[in-house]
Amino acid sequence: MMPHFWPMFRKEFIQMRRDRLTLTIMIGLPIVQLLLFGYAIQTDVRNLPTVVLDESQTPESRDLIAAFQNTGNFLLVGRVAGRPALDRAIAQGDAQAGIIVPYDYPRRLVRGETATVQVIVDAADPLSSQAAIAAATGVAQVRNLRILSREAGRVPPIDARVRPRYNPGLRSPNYIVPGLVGVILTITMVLITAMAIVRERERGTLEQLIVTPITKTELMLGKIAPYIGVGMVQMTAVLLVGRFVFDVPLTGNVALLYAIALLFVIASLAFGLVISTLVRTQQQAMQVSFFFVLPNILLSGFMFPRQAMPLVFQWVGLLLPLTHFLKILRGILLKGVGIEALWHEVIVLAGFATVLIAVAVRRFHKTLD
Amino acid sequence: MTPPAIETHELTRRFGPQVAVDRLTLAIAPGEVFGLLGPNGSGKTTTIRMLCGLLEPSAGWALVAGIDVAAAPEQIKRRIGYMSQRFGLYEDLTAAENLDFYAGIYGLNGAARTTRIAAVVDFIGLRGRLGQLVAELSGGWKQRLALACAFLHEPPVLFLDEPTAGVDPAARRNFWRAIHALADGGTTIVITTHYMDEAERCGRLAMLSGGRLIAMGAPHEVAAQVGGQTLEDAFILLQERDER
Repeated sequence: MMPHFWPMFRKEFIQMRRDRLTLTIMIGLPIVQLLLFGYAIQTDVRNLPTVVLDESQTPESRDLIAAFQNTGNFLLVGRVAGRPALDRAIAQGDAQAGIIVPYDYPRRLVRGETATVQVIVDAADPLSSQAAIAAATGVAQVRNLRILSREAGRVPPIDARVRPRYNPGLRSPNYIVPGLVGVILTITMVLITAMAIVRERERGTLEQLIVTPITKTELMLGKIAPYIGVGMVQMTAVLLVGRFVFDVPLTGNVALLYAIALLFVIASLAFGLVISTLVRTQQQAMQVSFFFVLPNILLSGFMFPRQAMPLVFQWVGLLLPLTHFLKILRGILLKGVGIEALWHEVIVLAGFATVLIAVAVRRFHKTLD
Repeated sequence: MTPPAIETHELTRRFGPQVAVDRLTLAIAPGEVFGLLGPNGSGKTTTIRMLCGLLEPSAGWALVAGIDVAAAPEQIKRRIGYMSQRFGLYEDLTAAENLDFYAGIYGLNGAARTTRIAAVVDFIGLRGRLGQLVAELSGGWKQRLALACAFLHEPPVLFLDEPTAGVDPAARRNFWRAIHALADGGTTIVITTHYMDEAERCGRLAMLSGGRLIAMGAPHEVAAQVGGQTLEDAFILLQERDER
């Protein structure tokens, strides 16, 4: 069975080992990416720079402003004297939120009328404004409840207790790191093999290779096999840094995760091979790979929730192996579920791997035209 | 009479409207050193590539070691050795690693591989260079290594496409000594060259021009057929005619 596979594998392995720069990048890249994503990217936006226009200047208004600050979402950066100054501060970007307490705030509160507080939020960036909007609403609700229940002389009738499971601290790293394993594997695995065949074509070694009895399948499998090991090393690096630097729990069966990751890595490598059979130069291979990486990051659910996407894009997302692998990663690492909850995704990944290898073999011809 | 090692009949290859090889018919006997001679673009490389199963013929047929190149290109590949015009070995591997790789690809394993590689290395005189990265070898050593890799599996037919381009005279002489030794052992050799002194060393020549066979026979016969005193005269005559 496949007598020419091992020589091909050995050759690719030696070449990979000898190319120190590429090897360093392949191992270093995951670590750098992880530190970048882990430290720089926080989706829970806190400390929004805030200016205050306090027209009433009373203990009541100061108490309210303190309540806003205590949520942690508003960072007081200045007080302004009037409405135009507040608008300017937000327009210029000195502040992203403004709190206006009108002069009649304490009076209305005492009279039992509705006292209005205005919170202006720069919503140009929806992600950062959302948390502030929710916090502002929350401040008012808590105070309302306190005042109303005091006047009615009874406790609030309903209390919804939310238990955030699997990531109780709602920490970004817990969500990002498992996803990052998949994203890094996608980028490097696809890119490596997208270059694999065009490189031999460009260097002139392919012509010598295809006059030998090696079969197309042996050639393809021999080319991708050494990189399966690289993929496993990358994954281990990310998981270790995630665990010990970012405190991301490894809840489930890690052995199972590695077994499934093997399928995903093979599918990604095979996809790279397909690209390699489509292009004529290494430069084209690089461009096509990056073209492929973008939808992976945007549509797979790595950064943006798939549930929020229009149906068409949810379907497109299903065509990406990463989408399915992310479910597996988060399922095993965060929820600790086993194969019984994931077999559907596993079958899909196995399907991707098989089909992509078949397409690559079919597209490749052992001739020069 | 033994059947020819290579036989072609009206072998033709077109690239779009352009005819690279035009109805080439020839027969080469086992053990012959057969030269393909002609100016650039005369169809030498295209002919060799068709005979190796790298390009499909547009018309006509060719048998190599008794096998139809169009019908069974993969079967041809076990029975031939090939040295491409452009150096085709791995520069980031050592000489020994290249030999080992090609031996493995040609199905040589275990003790057989070791013995065969040792024999070829002695025959070509590669010992002492084995541990060197190919990128660091000079042109002459690269050619020798490429030849070694091409006949590791003892193919009955060897195709050499301008094997000595850019190699110094001493290395070329060594190279030809090896070629003749192989031919004496029964290997059929098809070689293209630009050097007239090399063409003189071939048993027979086929002179190509514009994809067509112009003359065929022993070197002096070819010169006479084209209409020159020497092969070089004939070649220049042909080139001038092509350029007109």
